[in-house]
Amino acid sequence: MGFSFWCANGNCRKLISRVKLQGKRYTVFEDALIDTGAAFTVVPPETAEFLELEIDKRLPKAKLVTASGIIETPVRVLEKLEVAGLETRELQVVVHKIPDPAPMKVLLGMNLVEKMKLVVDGKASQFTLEDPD
Amino acid sequence: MDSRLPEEIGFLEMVKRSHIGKWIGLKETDVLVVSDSHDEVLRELRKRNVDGAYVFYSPTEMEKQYGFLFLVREWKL
Repeated sequence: MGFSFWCANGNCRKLISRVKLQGKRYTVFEDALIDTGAAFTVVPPETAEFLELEIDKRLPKAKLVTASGIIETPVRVLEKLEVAGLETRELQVVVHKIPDPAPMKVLLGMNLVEKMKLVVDGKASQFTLEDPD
Repeated sequence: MDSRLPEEIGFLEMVKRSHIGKWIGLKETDVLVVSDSHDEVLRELRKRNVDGAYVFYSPTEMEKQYGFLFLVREWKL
């Protein structure tokens, strides 16, 4: 199972995919940026609240290095994330607001990417997400 | 290849053209919320108990020229 995507605006400077985020009661679909420079998957506070995500008891807070310095952010557990037909359950997500005018508020970090096979064909302006198994 | 159907892409492009520079909350073919902020769209969806909406942004022409965090310019040396 997996999907190929054309890179945004015909180049591979941004890897964007629609994701399904599932919480306790609700689900929401959002566009997300695949960010191999981010250790964690990031969701904004409003989305975390909407999905009623619970605090991760194993790691309640994480320290992150951002453009504006080191910050401490809450870590919560996403019931399920679905991207390209691939499902990940109980994913640790960092709750952090990516300021406007950023057109994407969800980042798919390495704690998700490491569970998948990501192939970037920059020359063909295409990337693929697949189940590695 | 894009995983979405061409009709869906066409519909989304039409919605985006109607709400440039805005955040949009869409469920199936119903535009539920249009706002300047992502937060406001989520707050409104929660207030209305909407499950399974798609939240996305319609960039302006100028914003389409930008990278995610940085303006990308090609310099000639």
